[in-house]
Amino acid sequence: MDFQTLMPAIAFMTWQNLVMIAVGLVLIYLAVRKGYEPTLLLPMGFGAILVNIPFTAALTQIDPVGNEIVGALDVFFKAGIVTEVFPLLIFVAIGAMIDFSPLFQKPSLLLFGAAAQFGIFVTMIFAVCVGFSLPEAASIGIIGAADGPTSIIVSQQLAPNLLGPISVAAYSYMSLVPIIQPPVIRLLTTKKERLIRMKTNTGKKVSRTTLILFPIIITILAGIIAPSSLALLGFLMFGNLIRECGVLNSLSKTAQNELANLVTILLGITIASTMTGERFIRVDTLMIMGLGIFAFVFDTAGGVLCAKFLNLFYKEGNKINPMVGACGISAFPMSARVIHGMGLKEDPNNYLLMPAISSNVGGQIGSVVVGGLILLLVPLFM
Amino acid sequence: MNIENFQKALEITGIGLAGVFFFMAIFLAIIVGVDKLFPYKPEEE
Repeated sequence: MDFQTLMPAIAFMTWQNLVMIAVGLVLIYLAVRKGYEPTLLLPMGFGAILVNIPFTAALTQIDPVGNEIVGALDVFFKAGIVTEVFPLLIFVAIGAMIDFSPLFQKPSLLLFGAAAQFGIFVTMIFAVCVGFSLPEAASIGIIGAADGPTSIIVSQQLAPNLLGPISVAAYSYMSLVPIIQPPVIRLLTTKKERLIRMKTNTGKKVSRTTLILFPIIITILAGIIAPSSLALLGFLMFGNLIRECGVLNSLSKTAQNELANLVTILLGITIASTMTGERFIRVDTLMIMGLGIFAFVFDTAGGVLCAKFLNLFYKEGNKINPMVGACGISAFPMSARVIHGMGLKEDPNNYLLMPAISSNVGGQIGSVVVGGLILLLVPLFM
Repeated sequence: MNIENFQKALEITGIGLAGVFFFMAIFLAIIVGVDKLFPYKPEEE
């Protein structure tokens, strides 16, 4: 009996497999030691190891007789990612976690949720320029939404071949918001602008009726205008309705905790099933990782520049701190915390947390809307 | 570079950005409107 028959996993191990196992170890290191999005990076890292051992039973294999032995991760992938069930369930969980009441305190900050999607489109144009097809470019651009489930849904529908690297980039960069955003903000703002204090209406309370009606009205209106956005927005709003209705407290807690945790475990390890060496180690992957940072940078810039533009029309005393515009991305509440921290660094008495949270909640809605729009528009132009 | 794809990407960018601002403006109007119609009353507590 030869070595290949005795130890096929070692005999058929390629350098690509070894690199991906190293990538998996790095992801686990980032999750455990650095605390970067551990709920997703750890399952993805472990999954990357799992699927890069040749003949792993976690993936579908053909036995020597020619029979197909279905792997568990392929079953999860078909059931949860191809059908989009996992990301949509995550949206229910996220919806149950979001408190929209900060938006009612200063609704105009919702606009930053639109402005900070700028990077998605700039990146899409740039990706087309470097040779990606239109659907692939749109899927790469959506990394800038800083919204993992939206990235998964868009890339699964438009460019399933890029799902692995796009998911890894989206979740990795979300965890790097504290590193990516501050230098961009400092580059685009003056010290004087960063010191702007914003009037907040933290004492304002929102009625329960309003909070219940909000997700229902948004769903109906968004559905009428763009039905393609409903899978994303509808599930988000459904989760929020469970939270706000006041009669489903146990379901709300389950959605926020058990559901979120269970689906996150499955989502992370299932995404990893696409991280095999031969599919992942390509020039395309490196380009996607680079373009992902590009998208985050331009999203941040879009939010900051929008705030600076609006300040041209606001009177002194009502001006917006441009740093708050950068919170229009979907990385919640990390981006708001980063901006609040930057504000305190500039002036220990400048509390930007509430407006930053409002803008950040707007970013969560904005990323879902832009995901729906891309799913609507790109097929029309193909 | 594929010029046709580039032009399409530009068009999607224009429509997409306008679309996302349009949606957010509608949401903004909903927030203001619903908040005005159903203001918070202290007895809710």
